[in-house]
Amino acid sequence: MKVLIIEDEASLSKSIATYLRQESYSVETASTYADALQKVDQFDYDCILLDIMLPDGSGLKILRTLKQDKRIDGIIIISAKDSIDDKIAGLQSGADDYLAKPFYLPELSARIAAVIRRRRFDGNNELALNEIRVDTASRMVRVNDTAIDLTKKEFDLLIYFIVNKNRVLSKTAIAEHLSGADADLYDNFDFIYAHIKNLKKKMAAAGAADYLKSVYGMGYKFEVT
Amino acid sequence: MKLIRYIVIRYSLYTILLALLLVPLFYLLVQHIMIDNLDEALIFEKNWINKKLQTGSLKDFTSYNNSTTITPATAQPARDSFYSKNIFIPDDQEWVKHRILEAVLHINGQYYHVQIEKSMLEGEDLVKSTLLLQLGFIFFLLIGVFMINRKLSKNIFHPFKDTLNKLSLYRVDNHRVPEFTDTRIIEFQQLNRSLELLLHRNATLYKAQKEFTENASHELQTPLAVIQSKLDLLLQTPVSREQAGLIEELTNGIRKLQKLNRSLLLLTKIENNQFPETEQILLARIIEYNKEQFSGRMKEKKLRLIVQDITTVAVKANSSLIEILVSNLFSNALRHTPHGGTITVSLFNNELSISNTAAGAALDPACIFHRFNKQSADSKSMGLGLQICKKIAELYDYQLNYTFKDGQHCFTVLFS
Repeated sequence: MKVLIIEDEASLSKSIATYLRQESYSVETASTYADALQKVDQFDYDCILLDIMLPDGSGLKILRTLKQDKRIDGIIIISAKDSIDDKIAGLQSGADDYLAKPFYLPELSARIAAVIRRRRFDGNNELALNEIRVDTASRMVRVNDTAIDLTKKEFDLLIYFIVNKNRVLSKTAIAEHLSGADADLYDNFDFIYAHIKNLKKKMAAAGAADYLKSVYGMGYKFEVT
Repeated sequence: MKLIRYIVIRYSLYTILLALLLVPLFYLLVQHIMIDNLDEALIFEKNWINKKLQTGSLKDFTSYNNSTTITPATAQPARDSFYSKNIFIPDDQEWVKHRILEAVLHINGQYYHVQIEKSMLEGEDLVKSTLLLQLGFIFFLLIGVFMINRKLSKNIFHPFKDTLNKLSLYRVDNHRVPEFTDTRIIEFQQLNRSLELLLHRNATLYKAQKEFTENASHELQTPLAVIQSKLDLLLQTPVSREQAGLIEELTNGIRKLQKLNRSLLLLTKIENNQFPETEQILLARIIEYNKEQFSGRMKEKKLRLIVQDITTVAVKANSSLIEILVSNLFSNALRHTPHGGTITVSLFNNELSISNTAAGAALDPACIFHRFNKQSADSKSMGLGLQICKKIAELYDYQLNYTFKDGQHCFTVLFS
């Protein structure tokens, strides 16, 4: 899976690249409009992370070029602009998703995975991991061919864990993924614990291995060996 | 009192006072002149009679209108006497004032008593006409002053009133510096020019300050993103429990900064009127959405939500802003309700009311909607949520109020 990061902030670009490479994506970076346009011209990518504000041009112009050429690269805008209007404008220009800075790398990773799934696997939205099969279109989860019934939050949690497998996910990042901007309303993240406990119980009941590990004080990890 | 009326009343008072003094004075003066004239005429006549009697006898003397009576007299009085007297005129059936001269003439050794009467009718008429004329003059003067007042008030003061009106409507955050109506009055011109300068200066300053907030907020997002991404990477390296705790705390700090940034940006945008699109919004739907959105949190805090009197209220506004307004009030209630408390929501008579059980006493309504005004010990509360609500309310002329009753904080929005 090829990912292009168009981002002028070198430090951020490097972090994203490091995180995604560990996910075995092949990652390229571009830091200027010209550089990005050249790379986009030469190669196809599964997903392009696009910063709107580049020193020598607007990321939206790259987006329009891609749309004109009817390219099927998935595009996620990563921008410091985070108003609803900016998001709508970005999505209307043809982006698949919009993530406002700052974001959690696991969240970005989950979004990239979702975009690639939608773009590349038409009619086949299946995510498989050992005995677990997840159909993201019908939101069905099977363990060893036994369907298990998950709530919306448990389902989102499972996807988030599978995409970010073998990673330590902080409670804050998980809370934000599940509840969006309202996460800061919570005094503590006990509710995550409740969801994870339920998810673990349902998975175990269907005979799945115990992948979900609590990492002392830090958060959780979906461990796949 | 209006300036023009103030001036006109003083002018009118002066005019009336002057008239009150001058009209009788003028009347008396004219009367005096008239009597003087009559007296002179009477003396003239007396002299004429004197001359006539020296040349002819009394019997030859005739008076054509019985206004002169000459009778032989015995003694000579000291001097001629003039007086006024009302005499009944049988022909006209009325009393007419007459000027009378009584004199004693000494002609050829014989004394004659001469009484000459002259009607003052014409003279009186003249005086009356003069009086009427004067009163008329004063009347028209006052009418004129009144009319000029109205005209001045309408025309000359119009630009001034316009300026006042525009000033009262002026808000530094809506970007439009008012253009004042042209006027020929120098004072008003100067006033308008000074105001224009002042307003332009204010607008520029305001804009600069807002741009600073906007840019600062934007520029902060990228370094925050860098820090957050590094923390995410750090979390993937082998870290101790203590280090993990530190990373979590740093993450929370970044979240808070981000939220602060977002709120400041939102405030700036509302003030900049950057939410022009409006649509019909059903408030009941937004309440329902918030109910669902916050249900998890409510369950966790064991709160009771009472939704009552939800009527169909539709408002025409920017949907994002209305959602933010309602959701901020919701989350505000949620945040400040103690464990096991109650939140009551009602939507009735165009009024949305969200009240919640209070943990403490009433808040200070004077500063509750101000920036960074934190009246709770909650470290997660930024003190910007209610200010955003206030700004949204102001944008659409809604009434946003806070009351404290029966141990409940209550926020109401009256949609106009």
